[in-house]
Amino acid sequence: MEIAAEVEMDIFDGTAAASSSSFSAASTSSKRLAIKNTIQTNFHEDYVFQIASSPEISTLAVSLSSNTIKLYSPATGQFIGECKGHISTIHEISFGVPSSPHLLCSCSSDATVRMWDTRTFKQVSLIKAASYQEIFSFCVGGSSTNLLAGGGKSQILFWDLRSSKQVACLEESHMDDVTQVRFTPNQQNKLVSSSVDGLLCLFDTVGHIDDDNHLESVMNVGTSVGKFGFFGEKNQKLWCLTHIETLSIWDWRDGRRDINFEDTRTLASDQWNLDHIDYFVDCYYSETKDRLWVIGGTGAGTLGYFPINCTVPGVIGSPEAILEGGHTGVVRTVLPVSMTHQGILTEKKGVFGWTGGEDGRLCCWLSDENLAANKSWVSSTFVMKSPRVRGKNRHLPY
Amino acid sequence: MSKLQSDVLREAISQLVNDTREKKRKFIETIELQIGLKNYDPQKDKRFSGSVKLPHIPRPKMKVCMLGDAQHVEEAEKIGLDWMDVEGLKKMNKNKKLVKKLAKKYHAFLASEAIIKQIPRLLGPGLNKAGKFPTLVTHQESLESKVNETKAMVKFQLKKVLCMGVAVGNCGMEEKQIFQNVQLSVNFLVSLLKKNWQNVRCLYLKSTMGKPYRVF
Repeated sequence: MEIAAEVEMDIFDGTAAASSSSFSAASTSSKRLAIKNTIQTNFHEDYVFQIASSPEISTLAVSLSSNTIKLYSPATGQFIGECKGHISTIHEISFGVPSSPHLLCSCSSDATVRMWDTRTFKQVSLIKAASYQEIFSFCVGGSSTNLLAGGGKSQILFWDLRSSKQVACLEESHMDDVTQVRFTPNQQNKLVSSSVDGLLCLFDTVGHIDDDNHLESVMNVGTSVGKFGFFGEKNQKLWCLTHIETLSIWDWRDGRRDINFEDTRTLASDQWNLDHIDYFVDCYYSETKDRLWVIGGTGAGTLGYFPINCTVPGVIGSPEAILEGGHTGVVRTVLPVSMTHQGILTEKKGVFGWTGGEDGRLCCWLSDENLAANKSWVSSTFVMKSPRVRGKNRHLPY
Repeated sequence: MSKLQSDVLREAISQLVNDTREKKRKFIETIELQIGLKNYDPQKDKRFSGSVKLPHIPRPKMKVCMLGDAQHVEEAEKIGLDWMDVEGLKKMNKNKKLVKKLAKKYHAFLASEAIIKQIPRLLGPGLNKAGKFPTLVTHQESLESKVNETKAMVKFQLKKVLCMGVAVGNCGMEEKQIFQNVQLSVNFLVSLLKKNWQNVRCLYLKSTMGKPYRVF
């Protein structure tokens, strides 16, 4: 998803200069972030799977394990509405259609890709795959930006968005679930896919797409791939996170691996004195600074942003941001503020980003440089800060 | 900290190996680690899937083929490893039947850097479909050690149910080796579970034709 304007997280401004030369910098360069507010999305045992937003509208979309998508106002934390319709696990959501900022798309194990109007919460479009299918990921792009690609069970399906008709099906390049599909940035006519079969495949999507002639390159990661993302000055690099929680860096144009962090969790854990890093949520790339971080988490819900030095052989540095005290369980999603509407607003509200987890919570973090504010976030009970409460306090005379 | 008690494991392995000695089969039985999980929801929790390298090769009869450049072909000859060069691959002319036949002949493939990039063009997606896309081997590493590394890799994957099996050895191995393989795989798999040992309901070891022995 390309964002027109990007506002960088303040948090990394100071530390970038200090720690750019030495990645074994002491933990004094890491900042503990404060929480602005915490929202409990449900009172059942449902997980928050993913948070999505659009730079053009002020709405946070949150997919839950209860097969629904809830919408919240990022400024107040207020619940706005719910998009119900999926009858099975939702795997990915995104505001991926550039021409329609209010259109939220989602894909699910119910073999559909659905589109919702976030103003009315109604489903406006439904794209169906065969009933045995499950769609684990989707992406909009292609040379005419009218292609919808979906990753399914051993297949990658393509639909023409204008007609909602399926136009192609790649079924020979993967032999297990396709966990992610992404059109390459800059060159929208190429697609990268990742799968449980351990492969990353690069396809050409111009013309009539078929396995025999459109498979351009295959990168063998060697183990089940969960997630990948593009980074680098020309977006020619790929970071790749596997289901065994390892990280590797690839050059997808050359089809080769640059770095493999074999025991990534231990490498990250060694960089701080908190609990062992059990998993990785995502990677974050700053285009303006050309820096990459891997976001590691503990079972108790603490996150750390670990910088990655991508010069071979590759080094994982000490965390530059620590998000503690927000979650009580595994964190599943992180949304940096540059991806939201708030990132565009000129007045910096100091919001760092949003996180969601298996505790059903949605947390908003501040990039407050004032470390003395540590005390304000140490709280074991969550509080849902509603505007009403604040208003009430204001009227108290003393 | 392993909750797998060494003596319980050793005892189970001894009994398992004894059983196989008593009733001799016409093949070397594989030993499988069977894991039963609990407090885990396959719909909500993160996927449990991947490959792990065991300290001792569980399937020594695994057939590997080297798709090599001149240097690797030479090395392959020396260690008695089957190989094919670029010319051999070009001759297949992207013929699906031939590629399928090649894929069936071997359990795994290795390929030199120069060749691995050409595979989609030379062979098409045939090796992908068979789940046998080659692993890269550079000139900086010993071919023999790469072959052994490939033979020592096992895949595990939890699908929609709460139980799964992983091959951890065979009845031809020494008991000590089986012990080490089991310990490593158990600890590795447990480290990937969010509640670690709280997610493990039971562990069994079983040889192909034998009865299961509980170890946890």
